Amino acid sequence: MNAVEAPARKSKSQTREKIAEPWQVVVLDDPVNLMEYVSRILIRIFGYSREKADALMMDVHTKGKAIVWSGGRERAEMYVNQLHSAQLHATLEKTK
Amino acid sequence: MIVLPTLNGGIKLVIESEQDWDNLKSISDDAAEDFSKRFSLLMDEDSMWGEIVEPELKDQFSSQVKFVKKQVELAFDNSVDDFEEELPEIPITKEEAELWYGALNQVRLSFEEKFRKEIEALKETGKIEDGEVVRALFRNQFYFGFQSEIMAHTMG
Repeated sequence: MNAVEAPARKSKSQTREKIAEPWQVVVLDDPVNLMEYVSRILIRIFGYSREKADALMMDVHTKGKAIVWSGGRERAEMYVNQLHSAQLHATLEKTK
Repeated sequence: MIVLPTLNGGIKLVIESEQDWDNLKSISDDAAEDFSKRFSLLMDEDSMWGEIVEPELKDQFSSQVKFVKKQVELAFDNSVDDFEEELPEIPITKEEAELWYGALNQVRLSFEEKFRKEIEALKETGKIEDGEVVRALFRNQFYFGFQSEIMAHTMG
C-alpha cells in the first residue's frame, strides 16, 4: 500500500494572517445623497465624532471617495451592508 | 406643502394644493426601479452580495416605497375635497421619517439615472424642450426640498 500524503494544513499563524488581512471600506461620491446625511450616517454606523465624519464626507465630495474604515473582511462587509442599507454607495478594497 | 416639526420629534405635512397630492402620489411610481442590484455591482464575487445582501436590500427598499404609498393613499382618502374648508395633513413620526427619507432617496437616484443627460444639457443651455422631463425635474426639486426638511427635523 502506498503511503498517502497528508493534506497540507495551514499553520495557525497562516490562518490568523488570512483573517487579519486588512480591508478598506470605501464610500463613493454620488450626485444624490445629501452631504449632511452622509456625515450623519458615518456618525451612526462608525461612532465617529462630528469633525471626523464631516472631514470624511468632504473627502467623498471633493475626491470622489474616502476610506472610512480599515480592518478585517468580515467586519468590513458588515459596515458596507449598513452603508448600502442607508443607500450610500460603498465598496470594499484590499489594503495595498 | 408645508412641513412642520412636531413636539414628539416627528413632522407634519400640510397639503395645500392638488399639485402637492400629485407630487406625493408620484413618489411610489417614480421610485419603481429596483436599486438593490446597483449596490451588488459595487462588490466582488467573493462577498456573495447578490445572493445574500441583495434580496434583503430589495425588501427593505420596496417596503419603504410601499409604506409611503399607503400613508399617502390613506391621508388622501380621509381628506375633504375643499382646501378652503380644511388643509389635509399627514403626520410622520420620528421612526417613520427614515422610511420616507429612503423612498425619496430612491426617487432621486432613479431621476438622476433616468434624466442625467437632460440635467447636464440644462446646466449648459438653461433649456429643456421635453415637457415630461420638465415636470419630472420639478418633482425632483419637490422631493429634494422635502427630504432636506425630513433630515433637518427628524434625523438629528
